[in-house]
Amino acid sequence: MRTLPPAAIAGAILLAAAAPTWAHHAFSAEFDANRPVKLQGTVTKMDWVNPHAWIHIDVKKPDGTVEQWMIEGGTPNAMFRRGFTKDSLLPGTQIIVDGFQAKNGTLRANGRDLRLPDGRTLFVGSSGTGAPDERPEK
Amino acid sequence: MASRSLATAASIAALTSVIAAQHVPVAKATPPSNPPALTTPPRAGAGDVSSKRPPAAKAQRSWTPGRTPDGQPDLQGIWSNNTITPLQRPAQWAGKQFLNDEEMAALKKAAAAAVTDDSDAVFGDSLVLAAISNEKGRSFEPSTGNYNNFWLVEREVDNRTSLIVDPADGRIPPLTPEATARAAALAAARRRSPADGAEDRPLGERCLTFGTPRVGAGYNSYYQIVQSPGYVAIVHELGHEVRVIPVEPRSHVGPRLQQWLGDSRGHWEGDTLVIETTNFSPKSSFQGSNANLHLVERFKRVGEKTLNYEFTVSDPTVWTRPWTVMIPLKGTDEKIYEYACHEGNTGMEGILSGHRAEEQAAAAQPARP
Repeated sequence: MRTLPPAAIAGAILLAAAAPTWAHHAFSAEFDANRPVKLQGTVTKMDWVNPHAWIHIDVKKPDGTVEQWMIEGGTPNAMFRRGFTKDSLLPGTQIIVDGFQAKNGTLRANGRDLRLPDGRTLFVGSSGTGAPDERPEK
Repeated sequence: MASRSLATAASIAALTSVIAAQHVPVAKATPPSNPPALTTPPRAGAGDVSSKRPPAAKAQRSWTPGRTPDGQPDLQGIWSNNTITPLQRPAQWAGKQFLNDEEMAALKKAAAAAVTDDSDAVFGDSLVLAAISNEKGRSFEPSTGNYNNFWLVEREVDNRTSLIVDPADGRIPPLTPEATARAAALAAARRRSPADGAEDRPLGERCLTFGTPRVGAGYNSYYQIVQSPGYVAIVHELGHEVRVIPVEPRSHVGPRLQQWLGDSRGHWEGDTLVIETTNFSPKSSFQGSNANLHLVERFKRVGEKTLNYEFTVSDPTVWTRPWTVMIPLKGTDEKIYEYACHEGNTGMEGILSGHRAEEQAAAAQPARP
Protein backbone atom coordinates (compact mmCIF):
# COMPACT_ATOMS: atom_id res chain seq x y z
CA MET A 1 0.00 0.00 0.00
CA ARG A 2 1.16 3.46 -0.82
CA THR A 3 2.15 5.56 2.17
CA LEU A 4 0.06 8.64 2.70
CA PRO A 5 1.67 11.90 3.72
CA PRO A 6 1.00 12.93 7.33
CA ALA A 7 -1.22 15.83 6.24
CA ALA A 8 -3.40 13.47 4.27
CA ILE A 9 -3.70 11.09 7.23
CA ALA A 10 -4.61 13.97 9.52
CA GLY A 11 -7.15 15.11 6.97
CA ALA A 12 -8.60 11.64 6.63
CA ILE A 13 -9.00 11.44 10.39
CA LEU A 14 -10.85 14.72 10.45
CA LEU A 15 -12.94 13.62 7.52
CA ALA A 16 -13.89 10.35 9.15
CA ALA A 17 -14.77 12.15 12.34
CA ALA A 18 -16.59 15.09 10.92
CA ALA A 19 -17.87 14.39 7.42
CA PRO A 20 -21.49 15.41 7.15
CA THR A 21 -23.87 13.82 4.70
CA TRP A 22 -23.54 15.58 1.39
CA ALA A 23 -25.07 13.08 -0.93
CA HIS A 24 -26.33 9.58 -0.84
CA HIS A 25 -23.36 7.68 -2.16
CA ALA A 26 -19.90 8.21 -3.56
CA PHE A 27 -19.96 8.13 -7.34
CA SER A 28 -16.23 7.48 -7.53
CA ALA A 29 -16.90 4.17 -5.73
CA GLU A 30 -19.35 3.09 -8.43
CA PHE A 31 -17.95 4.59 -11.62
CA ASP A 32 -14.51 4.25 -13.15
CA ALA A 33 -12.49 7.44 -13.57
CA ASN A 34 -10.47 5.63 -16.26
CA ARG A 35 -13.53 5.01 -18.41
CA PRO A 36 -14.92 8.35 -19.52
CA VAL A 37 -17.86 8.07 -21.90
CA LYS A 38 -19.66 10.51 -24.15
CA LEU A 39 -22.96 9.11 -25.28
CA GLN A 40 -25.65 10.45 -27.55
CA GLY A 41 -28.87 8.57 -27.27
CA THR A 42 -32.62 8.56 -27.25
CA VAL A 43 -34.46 8.54 -23.96
CA THR A 44 -36.60 5.43 -23.57
CA LYS A 45 -37.71 6.07 -19.99
CA MET A 46 -36.73 7.75 -16.76
CA ASP A 47 -36.95 6.19 -13.33
CA TRP A 48 -37.93 8.95 -10.89
CA VAL A 49 -36.67 6.95 -7.94
CA ASN A 50 -34.61 7.51 -4.82
CA PRO A 51 -31.89 7.50 -3.80
CA HIS A 52 -30.90 8.37 -7.40
CA ALA A 53 -32.89 8.79 -10.59
CA TRP A 54 -31.93 6.78 -13.69
CA ILE A 55 -32.36 7.85 -17.29
CA HIS A 56 -32.52 5.00 -19.81
CA ILE A 57 -31.23 5.76 -23.27
CA ASP A 58 -30.73 3.82 -26.50
CA VAL A 59 -27.36 4.54 -28.03
CA LYS A 60 -26.86 3.62 -31.68
CA LYS A 61 -23.35 2.44 -32.46
CA PRO A 62 -21.57 3.04 -35.77
CA ASP A 63 -22.30 -0.56 -36.82
CA GLY A 64 -26.00 0.06 -36.41
CA THR A 65 -26.46 -1.97 -33.27
CA VAL A 66 -28.13 -0.34 -30.28
CA GLU A 67 -26.87 -0.35 -26.71
CA GLN A 68 -29.21 0.29 -23.82
CA TRP A 69 -27.51 2.51 -21.26
CA MET A 70 -28.63 3.63 -17.81
CA ILE A 71 -27.51 7.05 -16.62
CA GLU A 72 -27.48 7.83 -12.89
CA GLY A 73 -28.55 11.27 -11.69
CA GLY A 74 -29.47 12.88 -8.40
CA THR A 75 -32.38 12.54 -6.01
CA PRO A 76 -35.68 13.30 -7.76
CA ASN A 77 -37.22 15.10 -4.79
CA ALA A 78 -35.41 18.32 -5.61
CA MET A 79 -36.51 18.03 -9.23
CA PHE A 80 -40.15 17.94 -8.16
CA ARG A 81 -39.52 21.01 -6.04
CA ARG A 82 -38.04 22.76 -9.03
CA GLY A 83 -41.22 22.10 -10.96
CA PHE A 84 -40.15 19.17 -13.09
CA THR A 85 -42.42 16.17 -13.47
CA LYS A 86 -42.45 12.80 -15.18
CA ASP A 87 -43.50 14.69 -18.32
CA SER A 88 -40.38 16.83 -18.28
CA LEU A 89 -38.22 14.25 -20.01
CA LEU A 90 -40.25 12.22 -22.44
CA PRO A 91 -39.24 9.12 -24.39
CA GLY A 92 -37.85 10.07 -27.74
CA THR A 93 -35.82 13.03 -26.49
CA GLN A 94 -32.26 13.07 -27.74
CA ILE A 95 -29.65 13.76 -25.08
CA ILE A 96 -25.88 13.84 -24.79
CA VAL A 97 -24.24 12.39 -21.71
CA ASP A 98 -20.77 13.05 -20.39
CA GLY A 99 -19.82 10.72 -17.58
CA PHE A 100 -17.89 7.66 -16.55
CA GLN A 101 -18.81 4.03 -17.07
CA ALA A 102 -19.51 1.70 -14.17
CA LYS A 103 -16.55 -0.15 -12.71
CA ASN A 104 -18.38 -3.43 -13.16
CA GLY A 105 -18.38 -2.94 -16.92
CA THR A 106 -22.13 -2.79 -17.34
CA LEU A 107 -23.72 -0.19 -19.59
CA ARG A 108 -24.22 2.28 -16.79
CA ALA A 109 -22.69 5.69 -16.31
CA ASN A 110 -23.11 8.75 -14.20
CA GLY A 111 -24.61 11.75 -15.91
CA ARG A 112 -21.91 14.18 -14.95
CA ASP A 113 -23.26 16.51 -17.59
CA LEU A 114 -26.56 16.08 -19.40
CA ARG A 115 -27.24 18.22 -22.44
CA LEU A 116 -29.47 18.48 -25.42
CA PRO A 117 -27.86 18.18 -28.84
CA ASP A 118 -27.97 21.97 -29.26
CA GLY A 119 -25.80 22.36 -26.17
CA ARG A 120 -28.40 23.51 -23.71
CA THR A 121 -28.44 21.90 -20.28
CA LEU A 122 -31.08 19.23 -19.90
CA PHE A 123 -34.17 20.23 -17.90
CA VAL A 124 -33.05 23.78 -17.30
CA GLY A 125 -32.57 24.26 -21.03
CA SER A 126 -35.47 23.19 -23.22
CA SER A 127 -35.97 19.47 -23.60
CA GLY A 128 -38.22 19.96 -26.55
CA THR A 129 -41.15 19.00 -24.38
CA GLY A 130 -41.64 22.45 -23.03
CA ALA A 131 -40.21 21.40 -19.71
CA PRO A 132 -37.90 24.29 -18.91
CA ASP A 133 -40.48 26.85 -19.56
CA GLU A 134 -42.85 24.87 -17.40
CA ARG A 135 -40.65 25.71 -14.47
CA PRO A 136 -43.15 27.52 -12.34
CA GLU A 137 -42.74 30.97 -10.95
CA LYS A 138 -43.68 30.26 -7.37
CA MET B 1 -8.05 0.83 -7.60
CA ALA B 2 -6.36 1.17 -4.27
CA SER B 3 -4.10 3.91 -5.54
CA ARG B 4 -7.04 5.79 -7.04
CA SER B 5 -9.01 5.49 -3.84
CA LEU B 6 -6.05 6.71 -1.92
CA ALA B 7 -5.53 9.55 -4.32
CA THR B 8 -9.15 10.57 -3.93
CA ALA B 9 -8.96 10.22 -0.18
CA ALA B 10 -5.79 12.23 -0.17
CA SER B 11 -7.39 14.97 -2.26
CA ILE B 12 -10.34 15.20 0.04
CA ALA B 13 -8.09 14.92 3.03
CA ALA B 14 -5.92 17.72 1.75
CA LEU B 15 -8.97 19.91 1.32
CA THR B 16 -10.10 19.00 4.80
CA SER B 17 -6.67 19.76 6.14
CA VAL B 18 -6.83 23.20 4.60
CA ILE B 19 -10.17 23.79 6.20
CA ALA B 20 -8.93 22.46 9.51
CA ALA B 21 -5.86 24.65 9.30
CA GLN B 22 -8.11 27.65 9.13
CA HIS B 23 -9.24 27.15 12.70
CA VAL B 24 -8.49 30.39 14.49
CA PRO B 25 -9.81 30.74 18.03
CA VAL B 26 -11.45 34.06 18.67
CA ALA B 27 -12.54 35.97 21.69
CA LYS B 28 -15.67 34.70 23.35
CA ALA B 29 -18.90 36.31 22.35
CA THR B 30 -22.43 35.48 23.29
CA PRO B 31 -24.67 34.95 20.30
CA PRO B 32 -28.15 36.36 20.45
CA SER B 33 -30.69 33.62 21.06
CA ASN B 34 -32.64 34.56 17.98
CA PRO B 35 -30.20 36.02 15.47
CA PRO B 36 -31.94 37.79 12.64
CA ALA B 37 -32.28 35.50 9.67
CA LEU B 38 -33.04 36.65 6.19
CA THR B 39 -35.86 34.88 4.52
CA THR B 40 -35.78 34.38 0.81
CA PRO B 41 -38.63 34.18 -1.62
CA PRO B 42 -39.49 30.72 -2.91
CA ARG B 43 -37.53 29.75 -6.03
CA ALA B 44 -34.95 32.42 -5.33
CA GLY B 45 -31.41 31.29 -5.98
CA ALA B 46 -28.44 31.98 -3.79
CA GLY B 47 -27.48 34.84 -6.00
CA ASP B 48 -30.80 36.44 -6.70
CA VAL B 49 -32.13 36.55 -3.20
CA SER B 50 -33.66 39.78 -2.16
CA SER B 51 -31.22 41.78 -0.14
CA LYS B 52 -33.97 43.58 1.67
CA ARG B 53 -33.72 42.69 5.32
CA PRO B 54 -37.08 41.97 6.92
CA PRO B 55 -37.57 43.18 10.47
CA ALA B 56 -37.06 39.61 11.61
CA ALA B 57 -35.56 40.29 15.01
CA LYS B 58 -38.33 42.63 16.02
CA ALA B 59 -41.00 40.26 14.72
CA GLN B 60 -39.42 37.35 16.57
CA ARG B 61 -39.49 39.17 19.88
CA SER B 62 -43.18 39.90 19.66
CA TRP B 63 -44.36 36.72 18.03
CA THR B 64 -46.25 34.15 20.09
CA PRO B 65 -46.93 30.70 18.66
CA GLY B 66 -50.47 29.46 18.40
CA ARG B 67 -51.72 26.53 20.38
CA THR B 68 -52.74 23.02 19.44
CA PRO B 69 -56.23 21.91 20.57
CA ASP B 70 -54.69 20.42 23.72
CA GLY B 71 -52.83 23.63 24.50
CA GLN B 72 -49.26 22.93 23.36
CA PRO B 73 -47.30 25.58 21.48
CA ASP B 74 -47.98 24.73 17.85
CA LEU B 75 -44.80 23.68 16.03
CA GLN B 76 -46.59 21.71 13.36
CA GLY B 77 -45.80 22.03 9.72
CA ILE B 78 -43.13 21.26 7.16
CA TRP B 79 -39.75 22.83 7.77
CA SER B 80 -36.73 23.04 5.53
CA ASN B 81 -33.01 23.55 5.96
CA ASN B 82 -31.55 24.88 2.74
CA THR B 83 -29.23 27.37 4.36
CA ILE B 84 -25.84 28.11 2.87
CA THR B 85 -24.37 28.77 6.33
CA PRO B 86 -21.54 26.30 7.02
CA LEU B 87 -21.48 24.10 10.10
CA GLN B 88 -18.10 25.49 11.13
CA ARG B 89 -16.95 29.08 10.73
CA PRO B 90 -14.40 29.38 7.92
CA ALA B 91 -11.11 31.18 8.59
CA GLN B 92 -12.18 34.04 6.35
CA TRP B 93 -14.88 34.85 8.88
CA ALA B 94 -12.85 34.27 12.05
CA GLY B 95 -14.03 36.55 14.83
CA LYS B 96 -17.17 37.49 12.96
CA GLN B 97 -20.52 35.99 13.92
CA PHE B 98 -22.74 37.91 11.53
CA LEU B 99 -22.43 39.48 8.10
CA ASN B 100 -23.54 43.02 7.45
CA ASP B 101 -25.75 43.93 4.51
CA GLU B 102 -22.79 44.70 2.29
CA GLU B 103 -21.13 41.39 3.07
CA MET B 104 -24.41 39.59 2.53
CA ALA B 105 -24.79 41.12 -0.90
CA ALA B 106 -21.24 40.14 -1.82
CA LEU B 107 -21.81 36.59 -0.58
CA LYS B 108 -24.96 36.20 -2.63
CA LYS B 109 -23.17 37.41 -5.71
CA ALA B 110 -20.22 35.10 -5.11
CA ALA B 111 -22.51 32.13 -4.41
CA ALA B 112 -24.34 32.74 -7.66
CA ALA B 113 -21.02 32.84 -9.50
CA ALA B 114 -19.72 29.71 -7.77
CA VAL B 115 -22.24 27.37 -9.28
CA THR B 116 -24.59 27.11 -12.22
CA ASP B 117 -27.17 24.55 -13.23
CA ASP B 118 -24.80 22.94 -15.68
CA SER B 119 -21.82 22.70 -13.33
CA ASP B 120 -21.19 19.63 -11.21
CA ALA B 121 -23.38 19.38 -8.12
CA VAL B 122 -21.96 21.33 -5.20
CA PHE B 123 -23.13 19.86 -1.92
CA GLY B 124 -23.35 21.08 1.63
CA ASP B 125 -20.78 23.54 2.89
CA SER B 126 -18.80 23.42 -0.35
CA LEU B 127 -20.99 26.13 -1.85
CA VAL B 128 -20.27 28.75 0.77
CA LEU B 129 -16.61 27.76 0.99
CA ALA B 130 -16.27 28.30 -2.74
CA ALA B 131 -18.19 31.57 -2.59
CA ILE B 132 -16.04 33.14 0.10
CA SER B 133 -12.95 32.16 -1.85
CA ASN B 134 -14.44 33.56 -5.05
CA GLU B 135 -13.93 30.21 -6.70
CA LYS B 136 -16.10 27.82 -8.65
CA GLY B 137 -17.75 25.17 -6.50
CA ARG B 138 -15.75 21.99 -6.41
CA SER B 139 -17.08 18.51 -6.90
CA PHE B 140 -16.70 16.07 -4.05
CA GLU B 141 -15.84 13.56 -6.73
CA PRO B 142 -12.94 15.11 -8.57
CA SER B 143 -12.26 11.88 -10.48
CA THR B 144 -15.73 11.13 -11.84
CA GLY B 145 -17.89 14.08 -10.90
CA ASN B 146 -21.45 13.55 -9.74
CA TYR B 147 -24.24 15.06 -11.81
CA ASN B 148 -25.41 18.50 -12.85
CA ASN B 149 -26.21 20.96 -10.12
CA PHE B 150 -29.79 21.25 -11.35
CA TRP B 151 -30.50 18.11 -9.33
CA LEU B 152 -30.16 20.18 -6.14
CA VAL B 153 -32.54 22.66 -4.56
CA GLU B 154 -31.52 26.27 -4.44
CA ARG B 155 -29.88 27.50 -1.29
CA GLU B 156 -30.77 30.32 1.04
CA VAL B 157 -28.38 32.90 2.40
CA ASP B 158 -28.61 34.31 5.89
CA ASN B 159 -26.29 36.52 7.85
CA ARG B 160 -24.67 33.95 10.12
CA THR B 161 -21.13 32.69 9.61
CA SER B 162 -21.51 29.26 11.24
CA LEU B 163 -24.26 26.99 12.46
CA ILE B 164 -22.19 26.32 15.57
CA VAL B 165 -23.02 28.94 18.20
CA ASP B 166 -20.96 27.43 21.00
CA PRO B 167 -17.94 27.42 21.25
CA ALA B 168 -17.80 31.07 20.33
CA ASP B 169 -15.27 30.43 17.58
CA GLY B 170 -17.92 28.49 15.69
CA ARG B 171 -15.78 25.37 15.39
CA ILE B 172 -16.19 21.77 16.55
CA PRO B 173 -14.10 21.38 19.73
CA PRO B 174 -10.90 19.32 19.49
CA LEU B 175 -11.27 15.56 19.60
CA THR B 176 -10.04 13.59 22.56
CA PRO B 177 -6.90 11.50 21.95
CA GLU B 178 -8.95 8.30 22.06
CA ALA B 179 -11.39 9.65 19.48
CA THR B 180 -8.49 10.65 17.25
CA ALA B 181 -7.08 7.14 17.50
CA ARG B 182 -10.50 5.60 16.79
CA ALA B 183 -10.98 7.77 13.75
CA ALA B 184 -7.54 6.83 12.45
CA ALA B 185 -8.33 3.13 12.91
CA LEU B 186 -11.64 3.58 11.14
CA ALA B 187 -10.00 5.39 8.25
CA ALA B 188 -7.38 2.64 7.98
CA ALA B 189 -10.09 -0.04 7.98
CA ARG B 190 -11.90 1.78 5.19
CA ARG B 191 -8.71 1.89 3.15
CA ARG B 192 -8.12 -1.81 3.69
CA SER B 193 -11.69 -2.86 2.93
CA PRO B 194 -13.50 -0.15 1.03
CA ALA B 195 -16.21 -2.45 -0.25
CA ASP B 196 -15.70 -6.08 0.71
CA GLY B 197 -19.35 -6.11 1.64
CA ALA B 198 -22.19 -3.67 2.19
CA GLU B 199 -21.12 -3.49 5.85
CA ASP B 200 -18.05 -1.53 4.79
CA ARG B 201 -20.14 1.26 3.31
CA PRO B 202 -21.64 4.23 5.21
CA LEU B 203 -25.01 3.82 6.90
CA GLY B 204 -26.77 6.27 4.59
CA GLU B 205 -25.37 4.63 1.50
CA ARG B 206 -26.80 1.37 2.83
CA CYS B 207 -30.17 3.08 3.29
CA LEU B 208 -30.15 2.09 6.96
CA THR B 209 -30.31 5.51 8.61
CA PHE B 210 -29.20 9.08 8.17
CA GLY B 211 -29.09 9.52 11.93
CA THR B 212 -29.97 12.35 14.21
CA PRO B 213 -29.30 15.18 14.79
CA ARG B 214 -28.94 16.36 11.21
CA VAL B 215 -26.94 19.32 10.06
CA GLY B 216 -26.92 18.65 6.33
CA ALA B 217 -28.59 21.36 4.24
CA GLY B 218 -29.89 21.34 0.72
CA TYR B 219 -30.24 17.60 0.26
CA ASN B 220 -33.76 16.39 1.05
CA SER B 221 -33.40 18.44 4.22
CA TYR B 222 -37.10 18.66 4.99
CA TYR B 223 -38.87 17.81 8.20
CA GLN B 224 -42.48 17.53 9.25
CA ILE B 225 -43.59 17.99 12.84
CA VAL B 226 -46.88 16.52 14.00
CA GLN B 227 -48.13 16.89 17.55
CA SER B 228 -50.73 14.95 19.49
CA PRO B 229 -51.49 14.83 23.21
CA GLY B 230 -48.39 13.38 24.86
CA TYR B 231 -46.36 12.90 21.69
CA VAL B 232 -44.52 14.75 18.97
CA ALA B 233 -43.53 13.05 15.73
CA ILE B 234 -40.72 14.34 13.53
CA VAL B 235 -40.66 13.03 9.99
CA HIS B 236 -37.29 13.26 8.20
CA GLU B 237 -37.58 13.24 4.43
CA LEU B 238 -34.07 11.89 3.86
CA GLY B 239 -34.46 8.23 4.66
CA HIS B 240 -38.13 8.73 5.60
CA GLU B 241 -37.26 8.20 9.22
CA VAL B 242 -39.73 9.16 11.92
CA ARG B 243 -38.99 9.94 15.53
CA VAL B 244 -42.04 9.44 17.76
CA ILE B 245 -41.18 11.18 20.99
CA PRO B 246 -43.13 11.05 24.25
CA VAL B 247 -43.66 14.54 25.65
CA GLU B 248 -44.60 13.54 29.15
CA PRO B 249 -42.74 12.45 32.27
CA ARG B 250 -41.33 9.06 31.44
CA SER B 251 -37.95 7.52 32.16
CA HIS B 252 -35.58 6.40 29.41
CA VAL B 253 -35.51 2.78 28.39
CA GLY B 254 -32.85 0.56 29.93
CA PRO B 255 -29.22 1.06 28.90
CA ARG B 256 -29.12 -2.21 27.00
CA LEU B 257 -31.72 -0.96 24.52
CA GLN B 258 -29.76 1.03 21.96
CA GLN B 259 -31.32 2.41 18.78
CA TRP B 260 -30.25 4.12 15.57
CA LEU B 261 -31.98 7.35 16.58
CA GLY B 262 -31.57 6.83 20.31
CA ASP B 263 -34.30 7.06 22.92
CA SER B 264 -35.91 10.48 23.16
CA ARG B 265 -37.97 12.19 25.84
CA GLY B 266 -39.54 15.59 25.49
CA HIS B 267 -40.82 18.30 27.77
CA TRP B 268 -41.82 21.93 27.46
CA GLU B 269 -39.88 24.84 28.87
CA GLY B 270 -42.26 27.69 28.20
CA ASP B 271 -42.87 27.67 24.46
CA THR B 272 -39.70 25.68 23.77
CA LEU B 273 -39.88 21.96 23.14
CA VAL B 274 -36.86 20.31 24.73
CA ILE B 275 -35.93 16.78 23.70
CA GLU B 276 -33.26 14.77 25.45
CA THR B 277 -31.90 11.71 23.69
CA THR B 278 -29.64 8.92 24.90
CA ASN B 279 -29.27 5.19 24.15
CA PHE B 280 -27.76 5.58 20.67
CA SER B 281 -26.63 2.42 18.95
CA PRO B 282 -22.87 1.85 18.97
CA LYS B 283 -23.26 1.37 15.22
CA SER B 284 -24.72 4.86 14.78
CA SER B 285 -22.56 7.87 14.11
CA PHE B 286 -22.84 11.57 14.59
CA GLN B 287 -19.51 13.17 13.79
CA GLY B 288 -17.76 10.15 15.27
CA SER B 289 -19.96 9.85 18.37
CA ASN B 290 -22.38 6.99 18.98
CA ALA B 291 -23.32 5.07 22.14
CA ASN B 292 -22.11 7.78 24.51
CA LEU B 293 -23.78 10.63 22.67
CA HIS B 294 -25.99 12.82 24.82
CA LEU B 295 -28.22 15.04 22.74
CA VAL B 296 -30.40 17.90 23.92
CA GLU B 297 -32.53 19.59 21.27
CA ARG B 298 -34.58 22.76 21.58
CA PHE B 299 -37.32 23.71 19.13
CA LYS B 300 -38.67 27.23 19.40
CA ARG B 301 -41.01 28.78 16.90
CA VAL B 302 -40.02 32.40 16.62
CA GLY B 303 -42.23 33.35 13.72
CA GLU B 304 -44.94 31.97 11.49
CA LYS B 305 -42.27 30.61 9.13
CA THR B 306 -39.22 30.24 11.37
CA LEU B 307 -38.50 27.43 13.78
CA ASN B 308 -35.21 27.78 15.58
CA TYR B 309 -33.70 24.34 16.01
CA GLU B 310 -30.88 24.29 18.51
CA PHE B 311 -29.07 21.26 19.80
CA THR B 312 -26.20 20.54 22.13
CA VAL B 313 -24.14 17.38 21.82
CA SER B 314 -21.79 16.04 24.43
CA ASP B 315 -19.67 12.92 24.49
CA PRO B 316 -16.56 13.11 26.67
CA THR B 317 -15.13 10.12 24.82
CA VAL B 318 -15.13 12.10 21.56
CA TRP B 319 -15.02 15.85 22.19
CA THR B 320 -13.12 17.84 24.77
CA ARG B 321 -16.27 19.85 25.51
CA PRO B 322 -19.95 19.98 24.47
CA TRP B 323 -20.91 22.06 21.46
CA THR B 324 -24.10 23.67 20.24
CA VAL B 325 -25.63 24.23 16.81
CA MET B 326 -28.53 26.48 15.85
CA ILE B 327 -30.33 26.06 12.54
CA PRO B 328 -33.20 28.39 11.68
CA LEU B 329 -35.60 26.02 9.93
CA LYS B 330 -37.91 27.66 7.42
CA GLY B 331 -41.61 26.93 7.14
CA THR B 332 -42.62 25.82 3.67
CA ASP B 333 -45.79 24.95 1.79
CA GLU B 334 -43.87 22.30 -0.13
CA LYS B 335 -44.65 18.66 0.39
CA ILE B 336 -42.58 15.99 2.03
CA TYR B 337 -41.80 13.20 -0.41
CA GLU B 338 -41.16 9.61 0.49
CA TYR B 339 -37.49 8.74 0.11
CA ALA B 340 -37.82 5.08 -0.78
CA CYS B 341 -34.12 4.30 -0.52
CA HIS B 342 -33.35 0.61 -0.32
CA GLU B 343 -35.53 -0.65 -3.16
CA GLY B 344 -33.93 1.75 -5.64
CA ASN B 345 -30.42 1.49 -4.29
CA THR B 346 -28.83 -0.03 -7.37
CA GLY B 347 -25.80 2.11 -6.65
CA MET B 348 -24.84 -0.33 -3.88
CA GLU B 349 -24.89 -3.20 -6.35
CA GLY B 350 -22.70 -1.15 -8.65
CA ILE B 351 -20.22 -0.31 -5.92
CA LEU B 352 -19.79 -3.87 -4.68
CA SER B 353 -19.69 -5.50 -8.11
CA GLY B 354 -17.39 -2.73 -9.32
CA HIS B 355 -14.89 -3.46 -6.59
CA ARG B 356 -15.05 -7.18 -7.38
CA ALA B 357 -14.35 -6.40 -11.02
CA GLU B 358 -11.37 -4.28 -10.01
CA GLU B 359 -10.02 -7.05 -7.80
CA GLN B 360 -10.33 -9.55 -10.63
CA ALA B 361 -8.57 -7.17 -13.00
CA ALA B 362 -5.77 -6.64 -10.48
CA ALA B 363 -5.41 -10.41 -9.96
CA ALA B 364 -5.14 -10.91 -13.71
CA GLN B 365 -2.22 -8.50 -13.96
CA PRO B 366 1.14 -10.24 -14.34
CA ALA B 367 3.13 -10.27 -11.16
CA ARG B 368 5.84 -7.65 -10.91
CA PRO B 369 9.35 -9.01 -11.28
